[in-house]
Amino acid sequence: MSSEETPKKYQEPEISLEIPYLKDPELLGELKKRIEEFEKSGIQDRVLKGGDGYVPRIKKRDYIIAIIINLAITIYFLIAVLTGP
Amino acid sequence: MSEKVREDVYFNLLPTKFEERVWGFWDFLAVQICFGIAAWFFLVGGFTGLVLPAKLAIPVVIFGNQVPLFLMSLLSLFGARYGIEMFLSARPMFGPLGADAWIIIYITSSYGWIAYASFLFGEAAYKFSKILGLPWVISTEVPGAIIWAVIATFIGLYIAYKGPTILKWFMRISALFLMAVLLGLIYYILAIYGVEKIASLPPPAPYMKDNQIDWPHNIASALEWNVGLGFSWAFWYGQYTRLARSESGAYHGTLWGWGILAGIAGVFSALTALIVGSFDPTDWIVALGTIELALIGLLLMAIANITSVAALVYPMSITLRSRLPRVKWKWAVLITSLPAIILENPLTFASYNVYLTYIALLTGIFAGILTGDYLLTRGGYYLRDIYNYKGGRYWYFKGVNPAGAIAAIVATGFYLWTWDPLLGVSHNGLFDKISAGIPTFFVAMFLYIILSKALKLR
Repeated sequence: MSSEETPKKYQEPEISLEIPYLKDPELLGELKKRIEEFEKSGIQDRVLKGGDGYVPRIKKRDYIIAIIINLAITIYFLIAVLTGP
Repeated sequence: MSEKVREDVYFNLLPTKFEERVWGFWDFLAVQICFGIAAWFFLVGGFTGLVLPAKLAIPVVIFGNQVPLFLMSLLSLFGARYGIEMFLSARPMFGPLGADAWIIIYITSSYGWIAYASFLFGEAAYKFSKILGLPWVISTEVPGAIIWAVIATFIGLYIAYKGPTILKWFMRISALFLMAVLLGLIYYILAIYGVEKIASLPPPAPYMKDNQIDWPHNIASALEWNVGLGFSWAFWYGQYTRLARSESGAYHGTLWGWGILAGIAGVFSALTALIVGSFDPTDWIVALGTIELALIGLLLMAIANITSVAALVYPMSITLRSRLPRVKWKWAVLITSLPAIILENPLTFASYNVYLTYIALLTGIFAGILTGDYLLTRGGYYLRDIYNYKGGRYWYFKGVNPAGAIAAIVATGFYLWTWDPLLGVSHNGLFDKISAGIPTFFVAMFLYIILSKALKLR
């Protein structure tokens, strides 16, 4: 197999944007503009390194609040099931 | 940017930028409460109350809905971070063609939700019409409830057609009303029947085995219906969270709005099912016999279900247009709502528990795989390649991610082996011990992680 025939997943991503079902030139143009903006403004690199995307990233305390409340609900459920009807 | 594109950003496939985000935490909470409080919670609570006493029904409703939402809560972040809807977010996990298959599953399975919301309104409206002595055409279940259901569908789709700004204001007002009425009705139930009496009521229609109540099976079944509803939100995150001003707002708004807060509706209907022996909470409202309470009940069912139809049709239309951008918004709204009318009938209404188990199967797998990928990548993706339909790094093997496809197929097999919703049997005998939806979520997630590593896809 020649290098040209290497499966896509092993190649570098293409720079162009191939969306066969998007025919509206204005919409396609705007989409390309937004993606380039996303890349050039540094958001793309930032999200790959665990930073903010378009909006501020979630914080650890958000996860902690969710874990504590869900743990309490799980304990309530287990007690109810284990003590029976 | 032209005015056309700017206006269109809430109705098409463009990633929404920070300055275009219209929803903060409270908006999210309001929208998800309105979206959550509807037929799905009323009916799942009603079915739970048929097979479990209050002591078990309440924790099963709360746990069954809240914990699946917590397990898959990372799904709320894709849309907020990249401004994209849910099934574009799914391309790295399934490949573009695999994600397309999920869009078809999503839209066709969601007609059921529209039908349940509309028909529960129809049930309330025809019963109220009967009290008022209105003509039989609108005061009998057939065709009365069906006619009212179709009307509800049309009002809901019109609100969805108007877009997220109208939706937001409509929901802000409705959420307060819904919470107040529901808490008031729960207080009323407890006041007239008494906590002790309700706690001592036996379930009216439990599953039996050898003339004894089969508690393990009743608990597992009720848990599975609630888990089905809990996981069902997996398809609905991105279309809303792409409008969020922060990831925290998207995360908490969906986690609590769809979970414990909307779950109050499930607790309410579990209690009414125990009292009147019917899964349909409108029976209890009518049984009270006063016009004032019936009117409040009707208003509750109208606002709860019509806002929910709107909250369903809007994201379905966004998803449809993200894949078929040439379809006009008006047509997208009609395509994603009108076929549901076929399902608006008493037979579909009574089969809600079976519907929920299939939803648990589909959405548990979808959520497990997306969560697995987030854990591998910390949610870091290439926006360009998410949109790149062909040739990008998420094209994989002929447009399908083999890890996602294999994990989905194996997890489906595991679910059906553990619980066959059509036959109502557990082939491996594990259902009464572990239920099926939550274990399937973990099977899909871990298998996906292992395969992605083994195939060097991540």
